[in-house]
Amino acid sequence: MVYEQAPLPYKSLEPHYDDRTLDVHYNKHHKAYIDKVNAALKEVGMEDKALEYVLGHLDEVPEAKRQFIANNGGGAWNHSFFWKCMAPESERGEMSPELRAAIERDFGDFKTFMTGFADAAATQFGSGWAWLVIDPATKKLSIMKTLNQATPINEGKFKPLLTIDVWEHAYYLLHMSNRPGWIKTFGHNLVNWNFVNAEFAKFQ
Amino acid sequence: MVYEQAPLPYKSLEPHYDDRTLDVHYNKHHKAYIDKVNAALKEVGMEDKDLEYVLGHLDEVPEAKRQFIANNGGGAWNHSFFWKCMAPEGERGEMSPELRAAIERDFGDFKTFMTGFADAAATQFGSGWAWLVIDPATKKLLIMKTLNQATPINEGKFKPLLTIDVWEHAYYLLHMSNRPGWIKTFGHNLVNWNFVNAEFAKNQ
Repeated sequence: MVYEQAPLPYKSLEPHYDDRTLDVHYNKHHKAYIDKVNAALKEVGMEDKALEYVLGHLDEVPEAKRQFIANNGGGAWNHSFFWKCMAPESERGEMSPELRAAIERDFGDFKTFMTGFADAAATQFGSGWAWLVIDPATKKLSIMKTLNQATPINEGKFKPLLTIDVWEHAYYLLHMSNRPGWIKTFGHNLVNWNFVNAEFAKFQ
Repeated sequence: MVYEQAPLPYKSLEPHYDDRTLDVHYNKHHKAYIDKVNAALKEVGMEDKDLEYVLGHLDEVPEAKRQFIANNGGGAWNHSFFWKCMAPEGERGEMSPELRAAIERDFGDFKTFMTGFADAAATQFGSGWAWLVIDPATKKLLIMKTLNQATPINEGKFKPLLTIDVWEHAYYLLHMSNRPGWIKTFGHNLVNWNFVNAEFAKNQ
């Protein structure tokens, strides 16, 4: 099955995410990953497999195309997830009581969680992502960071609940070198808690 | 010895490199690496060592600070070298006959070298650099690419002759997702051949 690039769930995220970046990020960066991974999966005869399956079973990809598929498939999947992690001002909702309880159980309190998430995002050297994930087996929440287009689903067990893109292309036009400023804006003004709540609820 | 941030060798590289990027790139990104590596070397009692020495002997850095010093020391050194690899129109010079002969010997012809260099720059996934280096022992020229702030001098033997920064911060304000456009502009309009010739001559 061809991995589709779903339409963006919103027309704009201004003023917290600039339209120019949203356009290039979705129509150039994300689209390129999607086109490349679809072509590569076809090339290796794996186009019938779900992208999430491939990313969790990269050892099944022929070695010659494995890194290419990991990179581009990761890019395709990560960005699809990322768009859903953001919403315009009035559509963001709030953290659910259930999620808040789990956050407090696993991190102590919300502030400690947000600091940990922000630190992971700030210290992923080079390009990458920071994540809130759940281990469905234990229900435990954890913070992870991944390099380039690596993703928690590569490990097969973790389920992402929230991510922030810290590749410079995600924030440079508006924030330039100020990655902490991007992280703060994301945390305070962009996170779609309705989505995060729903992802969390799937594993309860 | 404190590693100094040398002044930029030029006021502007317009129109081929935009002033706004030059400013942020030098005064924020590069300066941050320099400040961080100086602080870290002092912390581990290695401030008397030359930065090039440290980057070629990272095993001598205490493990707890090794990656931090590799990252920030690499960032400090790589950018210092990079500024010298560019010059304003009229000050760039041309490839010397000696260097051209070596390029033809090791790559076949200039076009093949430039294509190889551009490919390395385009395919360094995530953040990183592409390099023309020489092995002083054999005098052989090679193209390399490094991830994040890794650098050919980490391996102890190679001497860089030319580099291009392909971290998105190096080109995003002007070129956005078009890394190949940045690479082409660099190759055609920015390379300071006078500098490259001189570095090459040092290793003959």
